[in-house]
Amino acid sequence: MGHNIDMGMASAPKELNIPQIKDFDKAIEILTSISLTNEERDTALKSVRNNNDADFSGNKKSDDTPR
Amino acid sequence: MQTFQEIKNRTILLDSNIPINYASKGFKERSGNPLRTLVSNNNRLVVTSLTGFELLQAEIRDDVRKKYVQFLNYVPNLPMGKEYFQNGALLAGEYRRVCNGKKLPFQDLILGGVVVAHSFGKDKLLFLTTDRQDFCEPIWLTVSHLIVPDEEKGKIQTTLYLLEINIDLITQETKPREKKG
Repeated sequence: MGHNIDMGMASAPKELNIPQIKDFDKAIEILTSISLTNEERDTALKSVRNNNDADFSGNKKSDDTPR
Repeated sequence: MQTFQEIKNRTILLDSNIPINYASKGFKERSGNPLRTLVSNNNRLVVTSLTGFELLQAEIRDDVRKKYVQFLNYVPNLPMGKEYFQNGALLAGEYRRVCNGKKLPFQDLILGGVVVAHSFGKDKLLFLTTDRQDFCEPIWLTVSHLIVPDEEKGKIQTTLYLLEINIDLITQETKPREKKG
């Protein structure tokens, strides 16, 4: 017996429609235009690390330096 | 120790903290745009899907996500191979052995595994990061570094480190895998 799973485009990520950049300086310009504040930057740096702050023994990492 | 300006014809893997720092207000100007310096000197910047995952999994605005995706789609992406994961696992053992039992997040180990896999030939992969706590000596050696001042006069925002893995150290007892092709 088969399963009817809808694999249609309705579930495709929005990012598929984002235009491609072909120039390095344009890529940097887009990145710098995000213009995070110091607080937003620190939150972002912590967010790429904090998911893993606890190792599997349950210990917390000792340093608080953002990545 | 070389300056960023002296690094030429290398392949450089970007850690996720590099696009985040670049996305912060005034960073490009304060840092002197080191990625442009590296690209101008015929270096090739690359990321992995893990870098993209780290950036995009965070709680960020839609417009910020869209810009990260545009940047990530521009930079060549190293396809993830099983060698990277195997090397990452071996690297975990090396951290236990030579870094006093230090434990790293999985993504750092896998990124390390990527660098190990591309460190056997002449063109050793370099790793650009601000995280010298996790990518520490004696496993990681500094090829170059760049201090970026903060907006506040006299303070340092961060330091960018161009690192290479100490392949001779980690091959003494383990057998990491080279990425073919």
